[in-house]
Amino acid sequence: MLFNSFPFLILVIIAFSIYYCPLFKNQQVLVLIAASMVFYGYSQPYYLTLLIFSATINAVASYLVFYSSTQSRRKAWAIVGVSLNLSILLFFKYNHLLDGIVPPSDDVFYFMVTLPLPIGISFYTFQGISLIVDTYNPNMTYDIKIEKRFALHFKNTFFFKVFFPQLIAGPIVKAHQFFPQICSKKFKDINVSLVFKSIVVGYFLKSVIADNLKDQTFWIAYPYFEYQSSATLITMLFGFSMQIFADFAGYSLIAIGVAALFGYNLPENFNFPYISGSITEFWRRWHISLSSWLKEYLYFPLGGNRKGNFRTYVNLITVMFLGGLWHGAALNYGIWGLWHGAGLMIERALTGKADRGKEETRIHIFVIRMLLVFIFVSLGWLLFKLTSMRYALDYLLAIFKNISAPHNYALLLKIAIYSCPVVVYHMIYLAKTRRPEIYSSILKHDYAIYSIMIVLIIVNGGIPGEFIYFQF
Amino acid sequence: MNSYISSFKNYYLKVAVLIILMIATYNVLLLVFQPKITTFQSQWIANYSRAETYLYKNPKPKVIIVGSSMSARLQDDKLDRDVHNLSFGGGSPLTGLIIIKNSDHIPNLICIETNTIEGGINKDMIKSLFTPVVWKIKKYLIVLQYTYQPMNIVLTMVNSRFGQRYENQKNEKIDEGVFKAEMGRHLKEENCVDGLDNPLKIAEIKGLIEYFYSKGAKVMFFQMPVYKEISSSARYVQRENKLRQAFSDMNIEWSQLGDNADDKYLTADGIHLIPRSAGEFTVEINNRIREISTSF
Repeated sequence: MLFNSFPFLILVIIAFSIYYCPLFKNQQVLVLIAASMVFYGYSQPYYLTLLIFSATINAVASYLVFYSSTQSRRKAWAIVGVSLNLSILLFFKYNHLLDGIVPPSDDVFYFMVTLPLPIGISFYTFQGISLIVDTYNPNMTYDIKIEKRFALHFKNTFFFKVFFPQLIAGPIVKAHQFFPQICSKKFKDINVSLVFKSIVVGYFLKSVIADNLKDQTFWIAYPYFEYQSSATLITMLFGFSMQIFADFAGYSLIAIGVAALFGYNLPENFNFPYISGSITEFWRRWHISLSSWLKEYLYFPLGGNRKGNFRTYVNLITVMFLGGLWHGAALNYGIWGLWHGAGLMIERALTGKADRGKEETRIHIFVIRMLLVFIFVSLGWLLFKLTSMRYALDYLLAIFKNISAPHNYALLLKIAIYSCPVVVYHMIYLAKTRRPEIYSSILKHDYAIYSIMIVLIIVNGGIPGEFIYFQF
Repeated sequence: MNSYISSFKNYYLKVAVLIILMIATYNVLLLVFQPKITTFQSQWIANYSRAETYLYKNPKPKVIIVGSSMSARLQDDKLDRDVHNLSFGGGSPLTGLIIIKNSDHIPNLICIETNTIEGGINKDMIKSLFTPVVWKIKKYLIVLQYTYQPMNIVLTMVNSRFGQRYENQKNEKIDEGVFKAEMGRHLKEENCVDGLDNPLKIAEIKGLIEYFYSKGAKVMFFQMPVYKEISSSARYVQRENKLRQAFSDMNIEWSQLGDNADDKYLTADGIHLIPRSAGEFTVEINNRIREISTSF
């Protein structure tokens, strides 16, 4: 079920009405679980069993971790739980690699090997791992309440995993962020401003920007790019960077807004990433829930930056490579991860300790750094659009070869127009930090900005397309 | 507390009023000026616009052409007023047939492009065009139609000011590199599985045709001209024979217009006519439609 679909609107209206009805005051979690099952089952009903199975593993494992009497038993159950989660994820994500090896037959194994990827598995599996690790938590950093009654704990775990706003494409919520929020919610406590602004900006980015840009960046695909001029190729790549941001950030904002409607705060997932002056900063602003998950559950346990420079570089490359593979079992994603890992490594090597994290105040240096990071990131996005390495390299070669090819002015104009709001969106953020007086004057009339966005959603929304991150 | 509620209400009231004002104004301007949109953001928006123009047209056309990107190149200004081209870039004739069926309007004649007759139905498009209630409202609230998106209006204005020279160049120029590369790709498809071998697909097409027959419509098959190397390829000839065999039991008018066209028409890539040739072929097919229409 797409966020930008009629059935989703009906689902939210019905769920909202029942949720805040006094009759169902004590069953709010069950109402949301039911809505989530409808949401997920609408497109892939057969995968509801997998979702239930995954939630059961996490409920049982986290319960046993919490209530086991000895540290060694707690650790053992934690390892079992995390391993089972990863096994499921690895199987469904990478089973197609066996497709060419296992001969076609009628047996169950071949059937399993050819199963399509369940939507959202990368996201809800990582959430499950987060629950088990947070519960194990040898340093007692988090205080997650695991109910003594298993049925109640199962309900909370199931809810944590299937809560529909973030089920399919995040933000990836950590257990210690979500569990403390599970309680009865009141209608009067709804943060209306957050709901309104998140949903409007989210739908604007998705429907007006991403869905329209996808029609223009379609021509990045092979063989169409072969005939385009260098300027057109560069512009299309720029447009795709805008599109992927608008698509994913838009989805995350809608998820945050819809969750807030039911009284739950999801973590911020994008913080104006394209103004980043370094790759390190980019990863603090882009897909924050994934990068912080990788940092907390992978990078730090590997030693982080506490074991010398060489080990830090190895850890960075490893984490980014695995982060790339999280997106899919294909060479292009691994290379994308390595691309960013190498970038982080080189950046760290070249930046003195004293300069790390320092904000750049010189405007011209800030702009140059921002552009360099943007170019670096955009080149990486090419591997998301052209999933064949050969085509990606051909695309880059074509940028150098097709200098005298005729420009596609219509395409250039359309991409420029649809990219403007993303650029303006980032500039408003910059104004907030560097020109607060401009930002305040914009805020005074923000009702007009939101009105225009809503009108454009209604009259200039693109043909609905699936969210790019659904495929992961 | 009261002032908080008051400012809260004022803010959202301002938003609501502004939205209604802007949409109403835009709708009125569209109804008053009735801009002719000739340039669309993308071929997909152009497809939706074609479908919407048909759905909300009054009076409804007597003749409808359904097809793919090949017949989407037929030029509307060279077709008679009661002929509507419901062909879609990247689409298939079946999508057009489903749209006609769902619209509850039965034309006198349906012309079906056979080059891609076995292409799949675009279910997302059908769902979107016929969203309950919304598709009826769009007839009056035309701002909701894809045709009148502000971006299409901007592009039409820009194109009318700057685009003519580019269009004229396109009329005559064939890019040899593109032509060769695309021809290579089309000829590679010699070994692809033919959809016409699928009995379920044939049954689906026949079912739709029979539905229109039962409502009193006539059907004409026509073929868009393609480059001779493609039309003389073994697969193409085989396909022709399969097509005739599959529909031999139906009373279908087979137009010979696109057959053996060879050098008469020029294509940009082997299968899509260049504008000049598309104009010429449009005149021919329109004449053929007129001949058949005399019997209505």
